[in-house]
Amino acid sequence: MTARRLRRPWTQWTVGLTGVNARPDNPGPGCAVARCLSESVGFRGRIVGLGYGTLDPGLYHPDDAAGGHLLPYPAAGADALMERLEEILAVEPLDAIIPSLDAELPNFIALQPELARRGVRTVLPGREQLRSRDKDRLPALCARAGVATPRVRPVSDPGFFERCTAEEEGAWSYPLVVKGVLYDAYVVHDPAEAAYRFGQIARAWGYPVLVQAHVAGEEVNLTALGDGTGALVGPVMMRKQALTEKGKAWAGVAIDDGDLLSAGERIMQALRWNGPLELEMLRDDSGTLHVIEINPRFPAWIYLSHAVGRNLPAALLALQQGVRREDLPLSPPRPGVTFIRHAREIIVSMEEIVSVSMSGSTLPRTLPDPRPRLSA
Amino acid sequence: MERAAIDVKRTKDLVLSKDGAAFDTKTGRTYRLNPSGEIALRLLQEGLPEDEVVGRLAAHFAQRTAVVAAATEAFVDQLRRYLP
Repeated sequence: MTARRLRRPWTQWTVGLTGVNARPDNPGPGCAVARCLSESVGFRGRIVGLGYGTLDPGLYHPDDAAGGHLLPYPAAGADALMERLEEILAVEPLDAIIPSLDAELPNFIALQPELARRGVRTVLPGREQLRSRDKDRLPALCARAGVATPRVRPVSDPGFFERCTAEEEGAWSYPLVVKGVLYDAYVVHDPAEAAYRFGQIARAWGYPVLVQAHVAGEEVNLTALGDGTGALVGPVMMRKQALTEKGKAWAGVAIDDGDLLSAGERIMQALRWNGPLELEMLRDDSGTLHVIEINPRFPAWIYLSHAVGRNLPAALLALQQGVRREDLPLSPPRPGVTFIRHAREIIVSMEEIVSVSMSGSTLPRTLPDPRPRLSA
Repeated sequence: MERAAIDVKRTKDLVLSKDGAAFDTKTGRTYRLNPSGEIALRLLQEGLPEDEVVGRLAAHFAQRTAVVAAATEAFVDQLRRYLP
Protein backbone atom coordinates (compact mmCIF):
# COMPACT_ATOMS: atom_id res chain seq x y z
CA MET A 1 0.00 0.00 0.00
CA THR A 2 1.40 3.35 -0.95
CA ALA A 3 1.28 6.58 1.02
CA ARG A 4 -0.31 8.14 -2.06
CA ARG A 5 -3.23 5.75 -1.85
CA LEU A 6 -3.71 6.60 1.83
CA ARG A 7 -3.77 10.31 1.06
CA ARG A 8 -6.37 9.97 -1.68
CA PRO A 9 -9.60 11.88 -0.87
CA TRP A 10 -12.56 9.75 0.12
CA THR A 11 -14.38 10.83 -3.04
CA GLN A 12 -11.88 8.74 -5.00
CA TRP A 13 -11.91 5.66 -2.81
CA THR A 14 -12.84 2.17 -3.82
CA VAL A 15 -15.46 1.15 -1.29
CA GLY A 16 -16.66 -2.39 -0.55
CA LEU A 17 -20.30 -2.67 0.49
CA THR A 18 -22.01 -5.69 1.98
CA GLY A 19 -25.74 -6.31 2.40
CA VAL A 20 -26.25 -6.05 -1.35
CA ASN A 21 -29.10 -8.57 -1.34
CA ALA A 22 -32.35 -6.84 -2.25
CA ARG A 23 -35.40 -9.11 -2.08
CA PRO A 24 -38.32 -6.70 -2.13
CA ASP A 25 -39.88 -7.92 1.13
CA ASN A 26 -36.69 -7.44 3.12
CA PRO A 27 -33.86 -5.76 1.21
CA GLY A 28 -30.39 -5.40 2.64
CA PRO A 29 -29.11 -1.85 3.01
CA GLY A 30 -26.13 -2.28 0.66
CA CYS A 31 -27.78 -1.21 -2.61
CA ALA A 32 -29.19 1.92 -0.94
CA VAL A 33 -25.77 2.73 0.54
CA ALA A 34 -24.31 2.32 -2.96
CA ARG A 35 -26.86 4.75 -4.40
CA CYS A 36 -26.11 7.28 -1.66
CA LEU A 37 -22.40 7.15 -2.48
CA SER A 38 -22.70 7.12 -6.26
CA GLU A 39 -25.00 10.17 -6.11
CA SER A 40 -23.06 12.09 -3.48
CA VAL A 41 -21.56 15.33 -4.67
CA GLY A 42 -18.09 14.89 -6.09
CA PHE A 43 -17.87 11.13 -5.66
CA ARG A 44 -15.60 9.68 -8.37
CA GLY A 45 -14.67 6.51 -6.57
CA ARG A 46 -15.63 2.89 -7.22
CA ILE A 47 -18.24 0.87 -5.41
CA VAL A 48 -17.74 -2.85 -5.11
CA GLY A 49 -20.53 -5.15 -3.99
CA LEU A 50 -19.61 -7.84 -1.47
CA GLY A 51 -22.39 -10.41 -1.49
CA TYR A 52 -23.29 -13.85 -0.26
CA GLY A 53 -25.35 -15.13 -3.17
CA THR A 54 -24.98 -15.26 -6.92
CA LEU A 55 -28.30 -13.46 -7.25
CA ASP A 56 -27.44 -10.53 -4.98
CA PRO A 57 -28.22 -7.60 -7.32
CA GLY A 58 -25.68 -5.27 -5.76
CA LEU A 59 -22.94 -7.32 -7.40
CA TYR A 60 -24.13 -6.31 -10.82
CA HIS A 61 -25.94 -3.00 -10.47
CA PRO A 62 -25.30 -1.17 -13.73
CA ASP A 63 -25.51 2.35 -12.26
CA ASP A 64 -23.77 1.96 -8.95
CA ALA A 65 -21.42 -1.03 -8.79
CA ALA A 66 -18.10 -1.40 -10.57
CA GLY A 67 -18.28 -5.12 -9.84
CA GLY A 68 -18.68 -7.52 -7.01
CA HIS A 69 -17.30 -10.49 -5.12
CA LEU A 70 -18.81 -13.24 -3.03
CA LEU A 71 -17.90 -13.61 0.63
CA PRO A 72 -18.19 -16.71 2.83
CA TYR A 73 -21.26 -16.68 5.07
CA PRO A 74 -20.65 -15.04 8.46
CA ALA A 75 -20.98 -18.39 10.24
CA ALA A 76 -17.73 -19.48 8.55
CA GLY A 77 -15.90 -17.11 10.91
CA ALA A 78 -13.34 -14.33 10.78
CA ASP A 79 -10.47 -16.43 9.41
CA ALA A 80 -12.49 -17.57 6.40
CA LEU A 81 -13.57 -13.97 5.79
CA MET A 82 -9.98 -12.72 5.95
CA GLU A 83 -8.83 -15.42 3.59
CA ARG A 84 -11.44 -14.37 1.04
CA LEU A 85 -10.77 -10.67 1.54
CA GLU A 86 -7.08 -11.30 0.87
CA GLU A 87 -8.01 -12.81 -2.49
CA ILE A 88 -10.24 -9.83 -3.24
CA LEU A 89 -7.66 -7.26 -2.13
CA ALA A 90 -5.10 -8.85 -4.43
CA VAL A 91 -7.23 -7.88 -7.44
CA GLU A 92 -9.24 -4.99 -6.02
CA PRO A 93 -7.51 -2.76 -3.46
CA LEU A 94 -10.32 -1.48 -1.23
CA ASP A 95 -9.92 1.80 0.64
CA ALA A 96 -12.90 1.16 2.91
CA ILE A 97 -15.53 -1.44 3.67
CA ILE A 98 -18.99 -0.59 5.01
CA PRO A 99 -20.54 -3.74 6.49
CA SER A 100 -24.34 -3.58 6.39
CA LEU A 101 -25.54 -6.83 7.93
CA ASP A 102 -25.87 -7.51 11.66
CA ALA A 103 -24.41 -11.02 11.48
CA GLU A 104 -21.18 -9.81 9.87
CA LEU A 105 -20.23 -7.33 12.54
CA PRO A 106 -18.38 -9.69 14.93
CA ASN A 107 -16.14 -10.93 12.10
CA PHE A 108 -15.37 -7.44 10.84
CA ILE A 109 -14.67 -6.23 14.38
CA ALA A 110 -12.21 -9.12 14.82
CA LEU A 111 -10.51 -8.25 11.53
CA GLN A 112 -10.48 -4.48 11.94
CA PRO A 113 -6.78 -4.18 12.94
CA GLU A 114 -5.67 -6.52 10.16
CA LEU A 115 -7.77 -4.66 7.62
CA ALA A 116 -6.38 -1.33 8.84
CA ARG A 117 -2.87 -2.69 8.38
CA ARG A 118 -3.75 -3.32 4.75
CA GLY A 119 -5.15 0.15 4.28
CA VAL A 120 -8.81 -0.88 4.43
CA ARG A 121 -10.73 1.54 6.64
CA THR A 122 -13.76 0.48 8.65
CA VAL A 123 -15.80 2.34 11.26
CA LEU A 124 -17.09 -0.21 13.72
CA PRO A 125 -18.33 -0.36 17.29
CA GLY A 126 -16.35 -2.28 19.90
CA ARG A 127 -17.37 -5.83 20.75
CA GLU A 128 -18.91 -4.71 24.06
CA GLN A 129 -20.81 -1.86 22.42
CA LEU A 130 -22.19 -4.27 19.87
CA ARG A 131 -23.24 -6.71 22.56
CA SER A 132 -24.87 -4.05 24.74
CA ARG A 133 -27.49 -3.28 22.06
CA ASP A 134 -28.37 -6.94 21.59
CA LYS A 135 -32.09 -7.52 21.92
CA ASP A 136 -31.76 -9.34 25.24
CA ARG A 137 -29.69 -6.50 26.73
CA LEU A 138 -31.85 -3.63 25.53
CA PRO A 139 -33.62 -3.16 28.89
CA ALA A 140 -30.30 -2.59 30.70
CA LEU A 141 -29.07 -0.16 28.05
CA CYS A 142 -32.37 1.72 27.92
CA ALA A 143 -32.46 2.00 31.71
CA ARG A 144 -29.05 3.68 31.56
CA ALA A 145 -30.24 5.98 28.78
CA GLY A 146 -33.58 6.77 30.44
CA VAL A 147 -35.62 5.52 27.49
CA ALA A 148 -38.54 3.09 27.64
CA THR A 149 -38.31 -0.37 26.12
CA PRO A 150 -40.59 -3.40 26.39
CA ARG A 151 -39.41 -6.20 28.66
CA VAL A 152 -37.76 -9.11 26.92
CA ARG A 153 -36.54 -12.58 27.87
CA PRO A 154 -34.89 -15.51 26.11
CA VAL A 155 -36.96 -18.63 25.61
CA SER A 156 -35.64 -22.09 24.81
CA ASP A 157 -38.78 -24.14 25.53
CA PRO A 158 -41.92 -23.55 23.45
CA GLY A 159 -43.96 -24.77 26.44
CA PHE A 160 -43.23 -21.34 27.92
CA PHE A 161 -45.95 -19.89 25.72
CA GLU A 162 -48.61 -22.01 27.48
CA ARG A 163 -47.37 -20.99 30.93
CA CYS A 164 -46.30 -17.43 30.30
CA THR A 165 -49.49 -15.77 31.53
CA ALA A 166 -48.99 -17.29 35.00
CA GLU A 167 -47.66 -15.06 37.77
CA GLU A 168 -44.57 -17.24 38.37
CA GLU A 169 -43.61 -16.99 34.67
CA GLY A 170 -43.86 -13.22 34.68
CA ALA A 171 -47.58 -12.69 33.93
CA TRP A 172 -47.03 -11.96 30.24
CA SER A 173 -50.10 -11.14 28.22
CA TYR A 174 -50.88 -11.72 24.56
CA PRO A 175 -50.18 -10.39 22.00
CA LEU A 176 -46.43 -10.93 22.33
CA VAL A 177 -43.56 -10.50 19.92
CA VAL A 178 -41.42 -13.57 19.18
CA LYS A 179 -38.01 -12.64 17.80
CA GLY A 180 -34.77 -14.16 16.62
CA VAL A 181 -31.57 -12.89 18.21
CA LEU A 182 -30.50 -11.32 14.92
CA TYR A 183 -33.40 -11.46 12.49
CA ASP A 184 -37.15 -11.87 12.23
CA ALA A 185 -39.94 -10.84 14.56
CA TYR A 186 -43.58 -11.90 14.64
CA VAL A 187 -46.52 -10.61 16.64
CA VAL A 188 -48.34 -13.65 18.06
CA HIS A 189 -51.78 -13.77 19.64
CA ASP A 190 -52.00 -17.16 21.36
CA PRO A 191 -49.77 -20.03 22.56
CA ALA A 192 -50.20 -22.11 19.39
CA GLU A 193 -49.15 -19.26 17.10
CA ALA A 194 -46.28 -18.41 19.44
CA ALA A 195 -45.00 -22.02 19.43
CA TYR A 196 -45.21 -22.14 15.62
CA ARG A 197 -43.19 -18.92 15.21
CA PHE A 198 -40.77 -20.07 17.90
CA GLY A 199 -40.04 -23.22 15.87
CA GLN A 200 -39.72 -21.24 12.66
CA ILE A 201 -37.21 -18.81 14.15
CA ALA A 202 -35.25 -21.51 15.97
CA ARG A 203 -34.88 -23.51 12.74
CA ALA A 204 -33.76 -20.46 10.78
CA TRP A 205 -31.55 -18.66 13.27
CA GLY A 206 -30.99 -21.01 16.20
CA TYR A 207 -31.41 -20.40 19.92
CA PRO A 208 -32.22 -18.53 22.00
CA VAL A 209 -35.49 -17.20 20.72
CA LEU A 210 -36.65 -14.02 22.42
CA VAL A 211 -40.07 -12.97 23.61
CA GLN A 212 -40.83 -9.28 23.96
CA ALA A 213 -43.89 -7.53 25.34
CA HIS A 214 -45.97 -6.09 22.52
CA VAL A 215 -46.41 -2.32 22.31
CA ALA A 216 -49.21 -1.06 20.11
CA GLY A 217 -48.30 2.09 18.26
CA GLU A 218 -46.75 3.55 15.17
CA GLU A 219 -43.15 2.92 14.27
CA VAL A 220 -40.67 5.73 13.93
CA ASN A 221 -37.02 5.22 13.13
CA LEU A 222 -33.86 7.23 13.45
CA THR A 223 -30.56 6.63 11.73
CA ALA A 224 -27.33 8.46 12.46
CA LEU A 225 -23.60 8.07 12.80
CA GLY A 226 -21.60 7.76 15.98
CA ASP A 227 -17.98 8.85 16.21
CA GLY A 228 -17.20 7.18 19.50
CA THR A 229 -17.61 10.35 21.58
CA GLY A 230 -21.32 9.88 22.32
CA ALA A 231 -22.39 12.50 19.77
CA LEU A 232 -25.34 11.77 17.50
CA VAL A 233 -24.06 12.77 14.07
CA GLY A 234 -26.48 13.66 11.25
CA PRO A 235 -29.70 12.17 12.61
CA VAL A 236 -32.39 11.40 10.04
CA MET A 237 -35.87 10.48 11.31
CA MET A 238 -38.60 8.67 9.47
CA ARG A 239 -42.10 7.31 10.05
CA LYS A 240 -43.01 4.14 8.20
CA GLN A 241 -46.06 4.68 6.02
CA ALA A 242 -46.36 1.32 4.30
CA LEU A 243 -44.92 -2.03 5.30
CA THR A 244 -43.94 -5.27 3.61
CA GLU A 245 -45.22 -8.53 5.08
CA LYS A 246 -42.02 -8.66 7.08
CA GLY A 247 -42.73 -5.27 8.60
CA LYS A 248 -40.06 -3.49 6.55
CA ALA A 249 -40.68 0.02 5.30
CA TRP A 250 -42.09 0.16 1.79
CA ALA A 251 -42.77 3.86 2.06
CA GLY A 252 -41.82 6.39 4.68
CA VAL A 253 -41.78 10.10 5.37
CA ALA A 254 -39.02 12.17 6.93
CA ILE A 255 -40.06 13.70 10.25
CA ASP A 256 -38.54 16.07 12.79
CA ASP A 257 -39.51 14.73 16.19
CA GLY A 258 -37.83 16.32 19.18
CA ASP A 259 -38.72 13.40 21.46
CA LEU A 260 -37.22 10.87 19.08
CA LEU A 261 -34.13 13.00 18.66
CA SER A 262 -33.72 13.30 22.42
CA ALA A 263 -34.08 9.53 22.85
CA GLY A 264 -31.48 9.02 20.13
CA GLU A 265 -29.07 11.42 21.80
CA ARG A 266 -29.43 9.68 25.16
CA ILE A 267 -28.92 6.24 23.66
CA MET A 268 -25.92 7.40 21.67
CA GLN A 269 -24.46 8.94 24.81
CA ALA A 270 -24.97 5.68 26.71
CA LEU A 271 -23.50 3.58 23.89
CA ARG A 272 -20.73 5.87 22.65
CA TRP A 273 -21.28 4.17 19.34
CA ASN A 274 -18.81 4.20 16.50
CA GLY A 275 -20.28 3.86 13.01
CA PRO A 276 -23.78 3.85 11.58
CA LEU A 277 -26.81 2.74 13.57
CA GLU A 278 -30.59 2.67 13.38
CA LEU A 279 -33.04 3.04 16.25
CA GLU A 280 -36.41 1.38 15.77
CA MET A 281 -39.00 2.83 18.13
CA LEU A 282 -42.72 2.62 18.69
CA ARG A 283 -44.81 5.54 19.90
CA ASP A 284 -47.71 4.30 22.01
CA ASP A 285 -51.10 5.97 22.32
CA SER A 286 -49.90 8.14 25.18
CA GLY A 287 -46.99 9.43 23.08
CA THR A 288 -44.28 7.49 24.93
CA LEU A 289 -41.49 6.18 22.73
CA HIS A 290 -40.30 2.60 23.25
CA VAL A 291 -37.05 1.25 21.81
CA ILE A 292 -37.78 -1.95 19.91
CA GLU A 293 -34.38 -2.58 18.37
CA ILE A 294 -31.05 -0.91 17.76
CA ASN A 295 -29.48 -2.05 14.51
CA PRO A 296 -25.69 -1.77 14.22
CA ARG A 297 -25.66 -0.56 10.63
CA PHE A 298 -27.36 1.65 8.08
CA PRO A 299 -31.02 0.81 7.47
CA ALA A 300 -32.36 -0.23 4.05
CA TRP A 301 -34.10 3.18 3.85
CA ILE A 302 -30.79 5.07 4.08
CA TYR A 303 -31.33 6.59 0.61
CA LEU A 304 -33.76 8.97 2.33
CA SER A 305 -30.72 10.49 4.08
CA HIS A 306 -29.41 11.59 0.70
CA ALA A 307 -32.83 12.96 -0.25
CA VAL A 308 -32.98 15.15 2.88
CA GLY A 309 -29.46 16.50 2.41
CA ARG A 310 -27.78 14.32 5.01
CA ASN A 311 -26.00 11.71 2.96
CA LEU A 312 -24.81 9.55 5.84
CA PRO A 313 -22.82 6.96 3.86
CA ALA A 314 -20.84 9.83 2.29
CA ALA A 315 -20.49 11.45 5.73
CA LEU A 316 -19.16 8.16 7.11
CA LEU A 317 -16.39 8.08 4.51
CA ALA A 318 -15.59 11.74 5.18
CA LEU A 319 -15.33 11.04 8.92
CA GLN A 320 -12.99 8.16 8.17
CA GLN A 321 -10.70 10.57 6.40
CA GLY A 322 -10.62 12.85 9.40
CA VAL A 323 -13.21 15.46 8.43
CA ARG A 324 -14.52 16.95 11.69
CA ARG A 325 -18.18 16.27 12.37
CA GLU A 326 -18.86 20.01 12.53
CA ASP A 327 -17.58 20.31 8.97
CA LEU A 328 -19.78 17.62 7.44
CA PRO A 329 -22.19 19.02 4.85
CA LEU A 330 -25.41 18.17 6.70
CA SER A 331 -28.57 20.11 5.81
CA PRO A 332 -31.21 21.05 8.40
CA PRO A 333 -34.01 18.45 8.74
CA ARG A 334 -36.44 18.34 5.81
CA PRO A 335 -39.65 16.79 7.19
CA GLY A 336 -42.16 15.76 4.58
CA VAL A 337 -39.72 14.26 2.09
CA THR A 338 -41.14 10.84 1.28
CA PHE A 339 -39.69 7.67 -0.18
CA ILE A 340 -41.60 4.94 -1.95
CA ARG A 341 -39.66 1.76 -2.60
CA HIS A 342 -40.16 -0.21 -5.75
CA ALA A 343 -38.76 -3.43 -7.12
CA ARG A 344 -36.87 -3.23 -10.38
CA GLU A 345 -35.19 -5.83 -12.55
CA ILE A 346 -31.61 -5.52 -13.65
CA ILE A 347 -30.40 -7.52 -16.60
CA VAL A 348 -27.32 -9.65 -16.10
CA SER A 349 -25.51 -11.53 -18.84
CA MET A 350 -24.97 -15.26 -18.62
CA GLU A 351 -21.20 -14.67 -18.69
CA GLU A 352 -21.48 -12.48 -15.61
CA ILE A 353 -23.53 -15.03 -13.68
CA VAL A 354 -21.14 -17.82 -14.70
CA SER A 355 -18.19 -15.72 -13.60
CA VAL A 356 -19.66 -15.15 -10.14
CA SER A 357 -20.69 -18.80 -9.81
CA MET A 358 -17.31 -20.15 -10.86
CA SER A 359 -14.84 -17.57 -9.53
CA GLY A 360 -16.85 -15.68 -6.92
CA SER A 361 -16.28 -12.39 -8.75
CA THR A 362 -17.94 -10.42 -11.53
CA LEU A 363 -16.17 -9.72 -14.80
CA PRO A 364 -14.09 -6.54 -14.78
CA ARG A 365 -15.98 -3.50 -16.05
CA THR A 366 -16.00 0.26 -15.91
CA LEU A 367 -18.80 2.52 -14.77
CA PRO A 368 -20.11 5.46 -16.72
CA ASP A 369 -19.40 8.86 -15.16
CA PRO A 370 -21.35 9.47 -11.95
CA ARG A 371 -24.69 11.18 -12.52
CA PRO A 372 -26.42 13.68 -10.28
CA ARG A 373 -29.44 11.40 -9.88
CA LEU A 374 -31.93 11.42 -7.07
CA SER A 375 -33.87 8.37 -8.10
CA ALA A 376 -33.60 4.61 -8.35
CA MET B 1 -64.90 23.28 34.20
CA GLU B 2 -62.28 25.43 32.48
CA ARG B 3 -60.65 23.87 29.44
CA ALA B 4 -56.90 23.42 29.48
CA ALA B 5 -55.11 25.55 26.92
CA ILE B 6 -53.74 23.74 23.88
CA ASP B 7 -49.98 23.27 23.68
CA VAL B 8 -49.00 26.15 21.35
CA LYS B 9 -45.51 24.72 20.78
CA ARG B 10 -47.02 21.46 19.57
CA THR B 11 -49.40 23.23 17.17
CA LYS B 12 -46.34 24.82 15.58
CA ASP B 13 -45.23 21.35 14.44
CA LEU B 14 -48.02 21.62 11.88
CA VAL B 15 -46.83 23.19 8.65
CA LEU B 16 -49.65 24.61 6.53
CA SER B 17 -49.47 24.51 2.77
CA LYS B 18 -51.16 27.15 0.65
CA ASP B 19 -53.95 24.72 -0.28
CA GLY B 20 -54.95 23.93 3.26
CA ALA B 21 -52.97 20.76 3.99
CA ALA B 22 -51.30 20.58 7.39
CA PHE B 23 -48.19 18.38 7.66
CA ASP B 24 -47.20 17.31 11.16
CA THR B 25 -43.41 17.42 11.11
CA LYS B 26 -43.27 15.37 14.30
CA THR B 27 -45.38 12.39 13.23
CA GLY B 28 -45.29 12.65 9.46
CA ARG B 29 -49.07 12.73 9.23
CA THR B 30 -50.93 15.05 6.88
CA TYR B 31 -54.37 16.57 7.56
CA ARG B 32 -56.75 18.55 5.40
CA LEU B 33 -58.22 21.69 6.93
CA ASN B 34 -61.23 23.66 5.80
CA PRO B 35 -60.75 27.44 5.46
CA SER B 36 -62.05 28.24 8.92
CA GLY B 37 -59.90 25.48 10.48
CA GLU B 38 -56.90 26.92 8.69
CA ILE B 39 -57.51 30.36 10.17
CA ALA B 40 -58.16 28.88 13.62
CA LEU B 41 -54.94 26.92 13.49
CA ARG B 42 -52.91 29.95 12.46
CA LEU B 43 -54.38 31.94 15.38
CA LEU B 44 -53.69 29.11 17.82
CA GLN B 45 -50.11 28.88 16.52
CA GLU B 46 -49.74 32.60 17.28
CA GLY B 47 -50.60 31.74 20.87
CA LEU B 48 -54.07 33.32 21.01
CA PRO B 49 -56.33 31.86 23.73
CA GLU B 50 -59.30 29.86 22.52
CA ASP B 51 -61.90 32.53 23.39
CA GLU B 52 -59.99 35.12 21.40
CA VAL B 53 -59.81 32.74 18.45
CA VAL B 54 -63.59 32.40 18.69
CA GLY B 55 -63.98 36.18 18.68
CA ARG B 56 -61.74 36.63 15.64
CA LEU B 57 -63.48 33.87 13.70
CA ALA B 58 -66.94 35.17 14.58
CA ALA B 59 -65.95 38.60 13.33
CA HIS B 60 -64.28 37.25 10.20
CA PHE B 61 -67.19 35.03 9.15
CA ALA B 62 -69.94 37.25 10.61
CA GLN B 63 -71.31 34.38 12.66
CA ARG B 64 -72.84 34.25 16.13
CA THR B 65 -70.23 33.67 18.83
CA ALA B 66 -72.05 30.66 20.28
CA VAL B 67 -71.99 28.86 16.92
CA VAL B 68 -68.31 29.59 16.37
CA ALA B 69 -67.47 28.65 19.97
CA ALA B 70 -68.97 25.18 19.56
CA ALA B 71 -67.15 24.60 16.28
CA THR B 72 -63.86 25.90 17.67
CA GLU B 73 -64.17 23.71 20.75
CA ALA B 74 -64.69 20.65 18.53
CA PHE B 75 -61.73 21.67 16.37
CA VAL B 76 -59.42 22.15 19.35
CA ASP B 77 -60.52 18.79 20.79
CA GLN B 78 -59.63 17.19 17.47
CA LEU B 79 -56.24 18.89 17.48
CA ARG B 80 -55.58 17.58 20.99
CA ARG B 81 -56.44 14.08 19.83
CA TYR B 82 -54.29 14.24 16.72
CA LEU B 83 -51.32 16.00 18.30
CA PRO B 84 -50.25 13.76 21.19
